[in-house]
Amino acid sequence: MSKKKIISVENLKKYFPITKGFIFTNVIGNVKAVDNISFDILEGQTLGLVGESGCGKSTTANVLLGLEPPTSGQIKFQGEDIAQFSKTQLFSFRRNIQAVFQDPFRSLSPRKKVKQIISEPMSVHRVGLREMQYERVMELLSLVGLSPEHAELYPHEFSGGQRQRIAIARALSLNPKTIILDEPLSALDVSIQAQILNLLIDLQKKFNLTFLIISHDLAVVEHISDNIGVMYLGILAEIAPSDKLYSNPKHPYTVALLESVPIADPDAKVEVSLEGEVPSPLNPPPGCRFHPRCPKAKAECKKTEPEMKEITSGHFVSCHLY
Amino acid sequence: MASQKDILLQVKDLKTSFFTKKGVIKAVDGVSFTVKKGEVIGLVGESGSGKSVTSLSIMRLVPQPAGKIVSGEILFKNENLLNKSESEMRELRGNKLAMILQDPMVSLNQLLTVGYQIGETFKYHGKADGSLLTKCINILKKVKVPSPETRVNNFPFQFSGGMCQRVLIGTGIANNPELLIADEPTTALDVTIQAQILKLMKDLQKEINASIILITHDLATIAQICSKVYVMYGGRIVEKAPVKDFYHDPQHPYSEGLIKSVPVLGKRVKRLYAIEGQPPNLINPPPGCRFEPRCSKAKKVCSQKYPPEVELKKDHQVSCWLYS
Repeated sequence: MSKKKIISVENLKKYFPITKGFIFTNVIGNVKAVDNISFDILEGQTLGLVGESGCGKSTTANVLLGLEPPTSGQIKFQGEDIAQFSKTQLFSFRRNIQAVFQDPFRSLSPRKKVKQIISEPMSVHRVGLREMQYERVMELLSLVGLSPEHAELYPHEFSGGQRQRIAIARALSLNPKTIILDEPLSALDVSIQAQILNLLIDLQKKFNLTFLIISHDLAVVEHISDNIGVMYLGILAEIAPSDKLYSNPKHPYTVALLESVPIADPDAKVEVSLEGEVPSPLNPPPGCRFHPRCPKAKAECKKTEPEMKEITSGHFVSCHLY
Repeated sequence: MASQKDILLQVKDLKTSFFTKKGVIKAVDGVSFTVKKGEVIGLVGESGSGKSVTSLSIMRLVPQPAGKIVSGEILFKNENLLNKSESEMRELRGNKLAMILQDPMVSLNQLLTVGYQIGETFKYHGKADGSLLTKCINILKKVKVPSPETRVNNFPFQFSGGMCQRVLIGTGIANNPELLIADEPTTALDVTIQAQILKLMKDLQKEINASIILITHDLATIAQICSKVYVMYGGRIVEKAPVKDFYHDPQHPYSEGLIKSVPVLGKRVKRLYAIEGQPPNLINPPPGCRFEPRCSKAKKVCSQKYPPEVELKKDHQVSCWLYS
């Protein structure tokens, strides 16, 4: 493929230690939030991460943003390991990777005007003079479909969809190469969701942005992503181009997940294909983590953890069936 | 009349407003509908469309003192709930009328055991006798919580979100209610758990033969378990239709837009249909149709007068000037 890898993650692990005691603290266990995952994101493309709550999607995002240090593994941004970055390099790296979070009611400061919110990243990174920043704010507002008079208002004067537009404008303010979208649509209504989704697709084309989108809504992820990774309990169960994943899912978990998506059609009947709940990441089951809920589990699944295998080009599965 | 007997709940021209410093917010502005016995109704609409306020009005739980039911009638088994005293209402709530709220982690008290909270519904309505514990365990069994004998003594924080929702459904159905209002019961849950909870609600509905009003903004949930859909927009019901008609042949432009704007799994389109614009401000709503500013088929009359409700065929009513 001719496109460059913009982010590549290799064997990333993130454990959160659980300690006991106050002065003499002992680590008594680890919550294995992310346990050995690898993936690449190509420039100008979108990777979607899906999975149930607690599967490590958001932790992956936080580690990529540099908000949490990884326990082990490497994250390479344009071929360079971000763990090796000096302070100044890290600073400029952060210009290139921005985030939009789930709840637009909480991610915008209620005490700042919209123009201050959008220009804050520019002030932090000392980009341009104040007048230039103001011009940029106006430009960004029109880009995300808001009007210039909105700059003087406070976030509480906006609806959820408009606030998410402000959050997107803020993420764009430094011309980043990559934007990490952590559940950007789940707090919004259906009719507004479609608006924001269309906006994101337009912006991606215009600025050749790379997206990592995290969502539990499979239909939304399918709509916007080039590649989709399915996470389960800290591991990547399957990663494939989105059309392949939906037309030909390989991992039993992916199959079950796709089957349980309710369809907006009264004639379609949804079967409960997955009984039980996600086990605790504190003490994940031995072998394949999915085996207690898997309808196709074999004896082997209980003993050894499957490795990631490439079945067809670009389609990776970690399952003993293949 | 035979049909009159089947009607469990009848809401007539309900108006609920919130009196704030900025003005009067007409959250529910003239809503009428009926719920028959054993029927599952889906009430769908965007946030701020008045779905939740409608259900709170039925339960007489509109937040005081700002909120007030201004006019209308709510007939539950031919008795007007609006004329009942607070103690009579308490008698009904959790007994004949039950409600399941959206966020299971918030609506359970974290300091009391799950068993205690289920038991409360029995105790309150004088149905507690020596076998209270067994009753609670039976409820947990009904909602398929694994190992109910030990789980009954657990606290809500020891339960996952899906399990908490099961407990809440359990408390809702404990006294075999005739009307169960479920306000976004699956919104806070994962898809796999969502499917489990929906199936549970479907099974229980058949078992106790209660009527359910399911409030949601998720069209897929409605398609799964409802027989009829009422679409709300800007404090009014714009379309009432049987579930199949609603999905295959929606009449109101808003319903049509709503269905089109949902991305469908496995059918990727270049560009999603989006209803442009923002939901209306209910402080000073326009005199005409509330949807007019966002509607692609708007005519002149739409901005002047609110359209009357027209019956297109049996059980299918629309409020839109396109049809009248």
